[in-house]
Amino acid sequence: MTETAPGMMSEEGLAAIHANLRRVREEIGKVIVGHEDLIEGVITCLLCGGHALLEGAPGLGKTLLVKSLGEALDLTFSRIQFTPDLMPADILGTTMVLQDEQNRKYFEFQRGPIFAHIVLADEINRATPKTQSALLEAMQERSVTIGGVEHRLQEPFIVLATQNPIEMEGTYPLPEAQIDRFFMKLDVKQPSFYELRQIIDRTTRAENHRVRSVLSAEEILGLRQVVRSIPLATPVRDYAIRLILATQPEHESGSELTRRYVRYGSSPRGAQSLVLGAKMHALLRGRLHVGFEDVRAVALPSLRHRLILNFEGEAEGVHAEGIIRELLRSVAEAP
Amino acid sequence: MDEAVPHPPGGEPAAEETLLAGSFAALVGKCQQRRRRVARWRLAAEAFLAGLVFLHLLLIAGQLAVVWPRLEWLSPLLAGGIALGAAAGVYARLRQGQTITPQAVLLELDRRLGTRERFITTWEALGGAPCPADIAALLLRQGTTRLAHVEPRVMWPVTFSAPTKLLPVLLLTAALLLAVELPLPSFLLGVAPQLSQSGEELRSFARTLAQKAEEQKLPLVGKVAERLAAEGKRLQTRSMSGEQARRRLEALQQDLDRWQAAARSELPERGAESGQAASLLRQRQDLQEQLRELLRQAQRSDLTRSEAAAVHRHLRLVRELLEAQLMGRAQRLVERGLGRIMGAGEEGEEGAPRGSGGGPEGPAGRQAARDRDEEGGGQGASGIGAGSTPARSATPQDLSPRSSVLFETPAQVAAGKLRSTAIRALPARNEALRPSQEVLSDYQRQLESLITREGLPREYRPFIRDYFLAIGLSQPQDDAPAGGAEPTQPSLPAPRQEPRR
Repeated sequence: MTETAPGMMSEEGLAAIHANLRRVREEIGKVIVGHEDLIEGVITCLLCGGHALLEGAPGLGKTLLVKSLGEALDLTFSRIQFTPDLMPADILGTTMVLQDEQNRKYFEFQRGPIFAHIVLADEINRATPKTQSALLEAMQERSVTIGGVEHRLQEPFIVLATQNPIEMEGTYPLPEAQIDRFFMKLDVKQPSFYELRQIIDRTTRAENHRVRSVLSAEEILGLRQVVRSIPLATPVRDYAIRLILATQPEHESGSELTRRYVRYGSSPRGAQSLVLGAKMHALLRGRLHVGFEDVRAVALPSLRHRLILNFEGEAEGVHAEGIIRELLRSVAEAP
Repeated sequence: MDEAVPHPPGGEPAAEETLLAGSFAALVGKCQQRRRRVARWRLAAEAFLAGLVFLHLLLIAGQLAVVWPRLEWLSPLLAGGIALGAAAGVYARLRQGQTITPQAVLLELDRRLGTRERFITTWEALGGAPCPADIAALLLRQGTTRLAHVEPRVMWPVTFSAPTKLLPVLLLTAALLLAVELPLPSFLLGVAPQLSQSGEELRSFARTLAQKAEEQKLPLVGKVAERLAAEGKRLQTRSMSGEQARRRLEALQQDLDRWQAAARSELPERGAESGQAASLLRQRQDLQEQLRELLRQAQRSDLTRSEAAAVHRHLRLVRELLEAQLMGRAQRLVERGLGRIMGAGEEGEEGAPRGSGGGPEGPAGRQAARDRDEEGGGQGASGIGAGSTPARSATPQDLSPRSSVLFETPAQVAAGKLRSTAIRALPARNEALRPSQEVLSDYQRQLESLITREGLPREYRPFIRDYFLAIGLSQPQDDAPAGGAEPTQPSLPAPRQEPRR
């Protein structure tokens, strides 16, 4: 995959990137039925260097998806089941006292499960805020400092956290400041009739589908560079900015709906997510130019968890998705 | 091209990339030029439509001067000038706000071709936006290839402003409504209500005329009917001032006169039908003049009930005559006269002798008799003196018993014989200054002159004369011999005895 290296982009290289990304989706698709948007969202987060929050009911294949992604990308994978008694050391690791052959004692850092390329934080909202903060700090800094020693996490590093929207008892909802650190929030939807039929056919027979490795860690890092080097036209960039500003109720360009129902709008991190996601959306379709359509396509997963509704919005059952859809309709491409 | 040709970033460009950049810039310039041309057409169209709307609104406002005199200053010429100025203003305003830059052209192209901002991204990458050289070169190659295949017609679909988008719909709707002749309020069409009403009357008359022309196979009359119908429609649908309408009606009158003259001159050559039509036209003119005079006299004079009844019967006779001879317009004049004296006429008819003066023998009389029979009046062909009840029953207030006074006045009923006659007159005038005999004498003279005029058909002369004799007999019962066929007024000259046909 030398074509993916920056500075050597050609039509053949672009075609190879497109083909590789398609193969990743196809390999995951061997195991995961449907969920094309979810797979694309996870790949987008991976290649943009972000983390994803997956929200969906139990049994929809979230863990299987993440595991298949690890296999398809030839990356290390670890899974952490979050529980209320989970401690930060259980995630990050701890310094242990060991004894060598001369019976001398020394400290050695034992790495926790976060030291993997792909970390599945299952039911992240079941852990205490202290544990959540430890994970989220590692997500942001991409390093763990224990005992005054900084331990860098290996790249590519991605945390895929899941949470169950049904059960709220005994959970610790993620604070707004922490949830903002997720690049995208992806909804795991229930399968349709035909998808459910395929799921039954695949999982109740003898044969097992094996996921082949398609991309290596180095290739993924190269693709990250390609994504960031995709140019963004000024009108498209300005459109993304107008979209972000429209989510902010205190801003003059905030819409009426935003002023009424939104307490806090999207942060600049949301704008970064929107633009990078749009670039990745274009690259996944074999393009090196980003259009308005790409921005609109990633607006929902990029912004839905960044809009904090006020009391009126909560009381009236307004959803952030509805507000974003309305903004996509009302914000003009040209000023 | 407004901007210099951009070069690919990243130091010295390769020869191929330089060529591609130049080619791309040239293509963008070509698209920009096409777009400017389209924009000029769009601006002109928008300005024209805006001017049209202004003109229409101003014309409607001008017609509203009928109910709001403050708008009288708004003449059609001035409205046209204002609309022209408005169109120029709209053009200037739109032109000022429209700058066609290469970026705008490329963005529009991207939108129309669905290329997802490929061209604008390429343009900016070439213009120095942060972008790796290899990606810029790839974008340039793809963008130039794609842009070279853009067809000129892509530039043509014009996007109009929102108000302008509605105009074709409105114009089409208005045209459709006009085509199916729906009864639109006249002010929506910019037509004065009076002119619209006149147009409707003219068309109604034209329909009657055309129907009877068809029945009696009179092609010339049919032609006149067509002309009248067209003029009536124009009055109803075209916005015009009162002066314009007057000029059009004068032109119409000239056409009618011309046809009348042509009918007269071609009488020997065109046979019976043309002769009949020409005769009708002559009769129309003569009878109209006579009727106008009669109506003027009737309005000037203070009439007794019996005199009013006589005038009423006279007018009714002429109306029937005109009906029989397709004189619709004169018929309306008669109706107007009837309306003014209806009250007195109806009262006077009750005392009038029936069947006096002989029955009508001409075709007009027979037609009148048929009409009365069809109306179910039961009067039969009892002649012109028959007291058939008029269809209209409106009573003018000025002669109603409540507002008028009844007083006695001497009147000459025979040679050397005076008698007192009860006259109902307006209180303001206090008395009748003119004896009824003079009024009737005037009627008689005028009708005699009418009879002797060349244009009146011969068969109607005795018919009118009989009617005139009936006027003399239609005095109140206590003054006139009962059932007498002789005139009771010696002052009236004896009618000429012409053989009836």
